[in-house]
Amino acid sequence: MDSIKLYFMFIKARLMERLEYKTNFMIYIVPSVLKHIIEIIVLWFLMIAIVEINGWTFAELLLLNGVASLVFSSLFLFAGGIRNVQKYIETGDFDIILTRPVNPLIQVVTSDFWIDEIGGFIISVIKILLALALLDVQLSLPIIFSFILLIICGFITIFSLILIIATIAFWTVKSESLLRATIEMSTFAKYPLEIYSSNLIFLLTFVLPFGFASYYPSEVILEKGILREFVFLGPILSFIFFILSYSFWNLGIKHYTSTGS
Amino acid sequence: MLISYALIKSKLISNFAYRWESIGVILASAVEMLIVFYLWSAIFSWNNATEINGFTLTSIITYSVVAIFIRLICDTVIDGEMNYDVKTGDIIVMLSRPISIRTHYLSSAIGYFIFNLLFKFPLAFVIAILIGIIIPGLDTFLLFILSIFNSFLLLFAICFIIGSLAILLNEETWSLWFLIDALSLLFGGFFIPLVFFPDWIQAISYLLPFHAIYSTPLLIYVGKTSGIDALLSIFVQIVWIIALFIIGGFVVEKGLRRIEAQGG
Repeated sequence: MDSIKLYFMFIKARLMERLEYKTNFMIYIVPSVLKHIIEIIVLWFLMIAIVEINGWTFAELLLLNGVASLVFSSLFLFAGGIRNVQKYIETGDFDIILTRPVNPLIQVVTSDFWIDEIGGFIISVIKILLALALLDVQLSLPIIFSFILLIICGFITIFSLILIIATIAFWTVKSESLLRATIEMSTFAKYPLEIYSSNLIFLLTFVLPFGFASYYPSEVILEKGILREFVFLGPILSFIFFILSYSFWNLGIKHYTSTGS
Repeated sequence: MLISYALIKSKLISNFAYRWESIGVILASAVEMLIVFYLWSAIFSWNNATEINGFTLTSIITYSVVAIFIRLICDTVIDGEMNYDVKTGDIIVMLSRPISIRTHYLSSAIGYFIFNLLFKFPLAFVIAILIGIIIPGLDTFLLFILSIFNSFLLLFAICFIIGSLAILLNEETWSLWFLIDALSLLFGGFFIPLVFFPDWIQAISYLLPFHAIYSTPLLIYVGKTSGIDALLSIFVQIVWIIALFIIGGFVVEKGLRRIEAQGG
């Protein structure tokens, strides 16, 4: 419990630090919000031209896109510092982290705050609400609850995946470029899984589980019926992935020998 | 003097020293290429179409894959470099050099461009071939090369304006790059060709430089514009390059005057 309290204290401090520069704040947020809006406009025009992708309409794709961007902007908002692992190991600053009496993982994930993602976060929520309004679906409390639960599980799963990739730096020192590629792979989550080949679907479900960042949570609401059997793997998988990544991270710390200077 | 060979060479060497750092970007482009391949394949097979808006499946996949290629190769990262130099104060050093500030960054961008051609291009090309893109005839290809070089200059000119704004406003401006990226999606024909958009969007796009960066070389590559039309579209690119260079020169001039006024 103390860790959670500390985590929010650190995040709040980072936010305050960033809000200090007001014009900078606007320069970061406005372009990233516009990028999201233009992406939706382009998708809309594409859907006017082709009507459907594998039976998916604009509103359904918007929901998928919204959930995907919600998971990834949350990742950078609440755990943006994970990209600093390489920097800490390279410079030897990880020593400082180890000497503090706080869980190293909490210190690392709160070491950065991607302010531009506040815009991304808000617009993702708007995307989801807009999609739900366009979809005209019957929402009951259990559906909303499992939708939100699965999004949170998706977030944990993706966070764990990114943590595993970042932890590689303890052995190789460099992991930034691999990390960037993995984050870039999130684009897979913006489209329905069934358009990919069966090998890729397997990969995106069990190995690099981007499917749980958008497709499987959306399935609860859309009830497309395809690949439905995997939906409720979400919570179990997020639990397994988290345990795995956290053990791997601790193994990495054990392996860490300061670069020193 | 427009470019400095010594600077180009040193930039090329330093980029090669860190070549493996760009593997992430190449992998990311490969992922994007794979996604457009699956996306368009699904769209065509679902709609049972042989042609959508005048594009066949192979030509639209080629269009999208080559678009990703252009962004991978022509991205200059000058905006980030200039922002960094403003932040650290290194921009002052440029003033004491016997070359202009634009010569410095253009040379740096060309060094990076050559590195991209020598290192990123072959790796990404293998992926594009595996996906199965159209290889055009020699005359088309030469026109394409010419227009892609103009795309590079256009992207440089835009990034130079973003960087110059950092000098002028004394703020970090690199995030404006997101905006350029986004506008290219809509008005540049980056993700889908401009013919997919309604007439009024196409009309606006011709008033903006983004179509000259992506749409022009891409339409030449897939054979939608050829002969006189192709040369004309390349001429439009050159007009945009000159216009953007003038704007960039104006902004940097004002920015540098401001720096000098601070003295010190």
